Amino acid sequence: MEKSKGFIIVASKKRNFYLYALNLAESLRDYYEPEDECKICLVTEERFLDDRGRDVADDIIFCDDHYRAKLWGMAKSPYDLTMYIDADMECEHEDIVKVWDEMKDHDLVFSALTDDRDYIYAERDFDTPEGVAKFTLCGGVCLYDMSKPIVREFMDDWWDLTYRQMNDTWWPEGYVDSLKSWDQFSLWWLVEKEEKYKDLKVGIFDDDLRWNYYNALNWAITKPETGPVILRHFSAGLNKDTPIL
Amino acid sequence: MSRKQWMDNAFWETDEKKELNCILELEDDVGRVTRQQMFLHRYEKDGSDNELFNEVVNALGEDRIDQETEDRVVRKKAEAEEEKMREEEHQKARKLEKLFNYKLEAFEVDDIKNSKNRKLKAKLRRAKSKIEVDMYSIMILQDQLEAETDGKE
Repeated sequence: MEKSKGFIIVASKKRNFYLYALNLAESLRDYYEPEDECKICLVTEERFLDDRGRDVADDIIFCDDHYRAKLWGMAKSPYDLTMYIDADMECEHEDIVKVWDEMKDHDLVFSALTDDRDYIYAERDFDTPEGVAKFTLCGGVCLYDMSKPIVREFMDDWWDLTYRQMNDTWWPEGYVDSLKSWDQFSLWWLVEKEEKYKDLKVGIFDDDLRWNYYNALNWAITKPETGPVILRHFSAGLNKDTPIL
Repeated sequence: MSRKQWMDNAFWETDEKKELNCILELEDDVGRVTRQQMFLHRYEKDGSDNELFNEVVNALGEDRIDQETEDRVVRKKAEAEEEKMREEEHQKARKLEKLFNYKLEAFEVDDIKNSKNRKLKAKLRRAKSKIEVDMYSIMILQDQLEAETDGKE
């Protein structure tokens, strides 16, 4: 049986994220051909949902206002092949329909956090008992195959570990506390330290800038190599707290 | 043991080679290194030769200073071009952010928010400038008015 495919967008905590999420969902429908095959799951708080959300989403899941509800939502995806996209992104190219080809034989696919892009992150290099390490995966977009039990387990563990590191019920010795707020850390820990995920196939999107292009001032000089931007990330330039209208 | 050395990146300030920009590196008896940037004239005010100027030229060689001057011009030009390109890209990025926020404001206007005309809303989302956003906003409002009028009839 063919695997189901769909996008998941999470909007919690602030109403602006809900509006960004609506815009992203609509933009996916604008470019995805055929449009009726564009399946979207919106994970949001019940207080935000309105007719626009009901109209644009095929599936709706209610979450709470946890700072990293994103990971909770990702683990609840109703689709086999799932493309998670940060709410403050926008689709701007019809190649979005090719996203499923990027799965190849991977279990999860991310965009990379390379040295020339690291200033986008507040904290990237960190000390470990074994020496200095750095985050190499960017969680702005993530393509994953929920039909594989190991991936389902991984997504549950990513959320669980992040939840526990943020409420101080789990933290390994020898790591600075400032890393606790980053789901990048729990991701790094699971991929690098957890024995049961040692065979997990984690990939990077081909020409990954096309799939997660930060519209940040300092990044503007870096361009995708094989085609136009497909998903643009407005993260840095948005005022998430001020009501849009 | 102390040491004094002219660094090999000295360059002429002018085509006439009458002014030289160079760096003197000094190391004292306990190994502390200091660098001093110097701007030297070929001639003193009274017209006599500047000994220090001659010392640098003799130490590095005129050909080497010529080459460094040439390389520096090329390097500075490339840096200026890159900086200009970076600035242009920054401006584009800023403009896109502003446009993104402006579109989201438009989508929060009640008549646009409630419009079911996906085609026009898609055009508004793809708009490349504020004028285009305004234009499609008006078209959506007109479309809404017509829909309401048709509904009444």
